[in-house]
Amino acid sequence: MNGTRKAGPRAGLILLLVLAIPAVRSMMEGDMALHMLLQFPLLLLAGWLLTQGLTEQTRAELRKWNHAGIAGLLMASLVLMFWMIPRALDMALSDSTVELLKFITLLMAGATLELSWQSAGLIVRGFFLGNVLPMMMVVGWLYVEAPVRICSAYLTDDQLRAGSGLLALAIAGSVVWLLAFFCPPIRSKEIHDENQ
Amino acid sequence: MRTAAASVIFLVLGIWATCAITGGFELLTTEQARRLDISRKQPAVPEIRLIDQSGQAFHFGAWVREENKFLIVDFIYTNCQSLCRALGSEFQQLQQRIVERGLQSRVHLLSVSFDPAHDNPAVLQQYAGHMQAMPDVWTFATVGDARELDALLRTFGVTVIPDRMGGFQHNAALIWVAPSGKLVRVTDFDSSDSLLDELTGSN
Repeated sequence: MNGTRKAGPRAGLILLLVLAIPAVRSMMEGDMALHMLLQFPLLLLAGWLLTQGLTEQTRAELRKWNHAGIAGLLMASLVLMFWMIPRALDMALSDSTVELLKFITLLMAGATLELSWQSAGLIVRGFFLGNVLPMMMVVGWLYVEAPVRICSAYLTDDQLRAGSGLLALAIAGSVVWLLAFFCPPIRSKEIHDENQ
Repeated sequence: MRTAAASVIFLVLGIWATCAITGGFELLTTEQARRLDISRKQPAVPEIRLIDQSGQAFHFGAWVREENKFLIVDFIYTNCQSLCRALGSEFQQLQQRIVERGLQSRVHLLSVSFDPAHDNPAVLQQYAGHMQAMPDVWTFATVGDARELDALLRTFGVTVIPDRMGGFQHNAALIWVAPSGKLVRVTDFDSSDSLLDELTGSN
């Protein structure tokens, strides 16, 4: 238990440092698909891992502000939706303050996901996924269908790949969500039966 | 209760940030932001030196005021295979309309190349011939000093990025410059006809 508690934040810190290396950053941000589909999720993951280092005391304190994970998942969905706005994506490339804000907010979104997911019920999770997944589909579809470049910093081919990737991820996310919706009750029921 | 407070704070921050980046929910893309910015601020044409297809140099801002005409500007490079072709045929049609209505004294077309390394006056002259451009209606030019290109593109809100095949990708738009030398409007390359009426009619 103690081991994973240390290993998580350490891995998160290393991941964050690697992502912050200028060469890695420009490599990932130079390609729209890598920017949205690799750097964003890795930043979320780094935030998630770093949060595992929090003590039980801090968690209890934070839980008071985050009943059933509502505030946390709301924040995470707002952050994710914001960074899908084409202009926000452009500004993260042209303005280093905006880029710093992107790093901080995505880390925080990863952190709030970790703090909220377990305690969030089906409805709160559904609200989160019901916001983020359709938004990804709309933005992805927009990028695929757009006759012109939507992000001025990227080529049209990039846009097409990023759009297809977003669509694929959103569809995969929806499938996983549906599976999770139908499968775990059976499993927990089995465990319940075994215990009896 | 605290959860509600935290949620409201996040929501307000989220709406504020979205409002800030979308210019009050008016735009989603950088291109839209640029267009709105130009029509609101109406920046002046920069005083940089351009060279036209006959090799003659002129100062952009001073030239616009001297000519005392509405100027419709697009940005091109002569090796372009895609967008510039569309822009080129749009300008051909505009040229035809200007001549038909006898607007030569009030409207002028200017195609600026952002590839000065390749598009010297001789190349531009050849391109103008290929486009059947009439010198008194349609001028081709490029920057005299490549270092001034950035300032020019920034003022006109044009982003040029090299693609991976030796060409460029750039946003295609027509930028309308008033006789005073101020940028007044940015339009798509298929919506210029009505604006031609509007601008010349109101003048």
